[in-house]
Amino acid sequence: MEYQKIAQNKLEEIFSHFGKPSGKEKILFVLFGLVCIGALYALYTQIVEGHIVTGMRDNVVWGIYIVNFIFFIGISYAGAMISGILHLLHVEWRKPIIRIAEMITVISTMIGPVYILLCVGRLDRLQNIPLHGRIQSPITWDVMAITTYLSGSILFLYLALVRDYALMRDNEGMKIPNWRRNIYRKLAASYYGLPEQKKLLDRALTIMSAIIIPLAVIVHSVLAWIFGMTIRPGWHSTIFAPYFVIAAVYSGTAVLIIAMWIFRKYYHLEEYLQEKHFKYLGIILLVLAGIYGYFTFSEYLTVWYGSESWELEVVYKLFDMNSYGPWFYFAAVGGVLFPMILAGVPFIRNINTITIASVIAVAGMWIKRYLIVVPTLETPLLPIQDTRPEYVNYSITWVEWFLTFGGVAVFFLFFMIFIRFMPIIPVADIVEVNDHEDFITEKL
Amino acid sequence: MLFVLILILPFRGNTADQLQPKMKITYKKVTDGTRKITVSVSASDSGVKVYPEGVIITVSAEKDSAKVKLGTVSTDWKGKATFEIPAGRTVAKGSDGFYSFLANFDGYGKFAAVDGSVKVKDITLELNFDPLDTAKIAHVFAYEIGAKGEKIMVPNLDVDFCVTRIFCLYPFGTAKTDSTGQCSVAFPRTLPGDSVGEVVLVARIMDNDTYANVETRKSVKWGVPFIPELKLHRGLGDTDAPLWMVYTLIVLLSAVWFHFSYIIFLMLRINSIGKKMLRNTANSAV
Repeated sequence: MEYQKIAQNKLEEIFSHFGKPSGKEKILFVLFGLVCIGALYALYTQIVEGHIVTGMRDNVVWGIYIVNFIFFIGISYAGAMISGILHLLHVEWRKPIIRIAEMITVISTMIGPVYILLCVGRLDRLQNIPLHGRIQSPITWDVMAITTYLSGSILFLYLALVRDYALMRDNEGMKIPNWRRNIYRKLAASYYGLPEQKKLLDRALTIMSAIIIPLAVIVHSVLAWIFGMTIRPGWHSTIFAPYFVIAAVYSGTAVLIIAMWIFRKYYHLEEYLQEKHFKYLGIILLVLAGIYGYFTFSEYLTVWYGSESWELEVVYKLFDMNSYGPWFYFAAVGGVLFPMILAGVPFIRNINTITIASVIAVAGMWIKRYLIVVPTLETPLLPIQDTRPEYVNYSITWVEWFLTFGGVAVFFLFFMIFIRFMPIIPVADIVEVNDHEDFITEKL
Repeated sequence: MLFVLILILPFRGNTADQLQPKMKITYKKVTDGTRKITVSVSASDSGVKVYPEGVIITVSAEKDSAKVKLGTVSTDWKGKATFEIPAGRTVAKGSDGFYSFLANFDGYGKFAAVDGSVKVKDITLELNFDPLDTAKIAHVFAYEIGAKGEKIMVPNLDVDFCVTRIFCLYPFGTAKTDSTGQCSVAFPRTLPGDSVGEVVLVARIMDNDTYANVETRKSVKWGVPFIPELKLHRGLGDTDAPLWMVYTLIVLLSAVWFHFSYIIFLMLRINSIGKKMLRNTANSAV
């Protein structure tokens, strides 16, 4: 079959970019491995000495672990929303980028919840969450929602991979060890591209695309409600759920663009990850930055103008240049305006500027999440008397930094490992046979 | 760069000059006869109050210029340490009938040495009442123990009467002891107690020049029983979630997991169709 031949050639060509690891890759692998070892040592320290080694205390009970959790769950939106929506809308240009997006979703959804475990401590009591969890608590909803979301994301990624696994199973050109070929055989689920199989797989993919979008919205809404339903200044807001959802899609899109840039630059996938993909995603980033900026302005204008004293205490901390001001202006203003300019002005819009915009957006979003979590906890409703300053003011310790960098290192390591076992560009999707199988098209 | 900053920041150096601290000592005797000597050490460092944390304070008793070491105690983060002398422990008393307690800090790090003392007489406050007294009168009898073990009444002593509340003591009266060392105060009839009306009465003298701080406590069911109104409805503050929430959750989760199961079913069908095709191909080849 001509289709098989073209698809297999394409598969071999894509995998040729991921051949023997280069020197740079090996150095990066060792570097990330060292960061992971450092994170394991930090984890050991935290388990042995307790949470006293973190910056969290009685008042500021959540620190960067929760920030990282929200951040990772947020970037998981890249796959859920972009591949889900674009699949349902049959947007053709999505095809080369959806695999990266789906992988970001699965990897970040696996890493994010680990930070909850790092935050709660006393893991020996973890069984009490399913045993005695209160259904009315947003934290219990979160556990259920994230478990469901992770299951759905893995299923979605797997469905999208089935046809590529079938190609890899049938490939004879690449030197794949037998054990790997056996795994591909199992994962391909006897898919041979028969019309009935194709129909069933398409149906499954459409269902998952439709489910993953509301599921992702629910997961981040629930996450927002943990804050929004708590009567504390800076949190008790009705717009928190959509605000969190938009922030998540925004940061997810930015991470996708950065990942695409890295793959394009270092694995020479220019043929697949073209300038138009960056420009389309840049426009999506621009729109999301606008919506996110609007939400931010609306949220803080309402709170500031309302002049409720306990809310103002937090707002003034955020506006004060001697307190959180520089971070707030970077996250809320710079993190919105710069990406809008870089991705929005046509004559400066190119692959590099869109990627720079994405880096600014990601940094801004991480800081913004920090500013949502920490300043509020540093502003308790009951006045704190006779308490150590470090119990009121949070500062990140080396243990927390190491575990944070560890999470980022694991994220990249997972990517580096996954791309050796599955095609980063969905071959079966970009080499498609039309309904009558009379000609083959490459859809990039 | 960030790593370097993170590593360097916690190790900023200290100033070498020693600070001259101040020491404050307070004495308090509680219901079971335990005497608590609280020592606070602080110093001013460029106008900022600083406290030596985890340093050793030696507590001694002095009798006619002879010092007897009672023990040591270490300070907390606020430079505060409390040494307890249990009720049964004998402490040397001066010929004037006063106990003299000394506290000594030898100096540590940037903090120079400092010491302080407190001189007190021992007194006993007896809190008496008849639990069945409908007038609810609380009596206090204040006395010292003489050289032969006799009770010596203490007149003209200001005594505060309080009840314990969640965060502090609530005062309900003050009286001065008469020539027999006694005074009384009526308990307010409307003061709430716990669910059975129990309250903890406290009689105390505070910052007295001779006796310092002494208090005694006793429980009695004189309060108005307070039973909080329990609002029984399914909600966030209760043990049960609202029913609509439970139903919505079940429906939503069931719908999602039903679809996941359906997709797995579709994959199984794809698998069986493929296998069937392979079998047919093999059969036709044979």
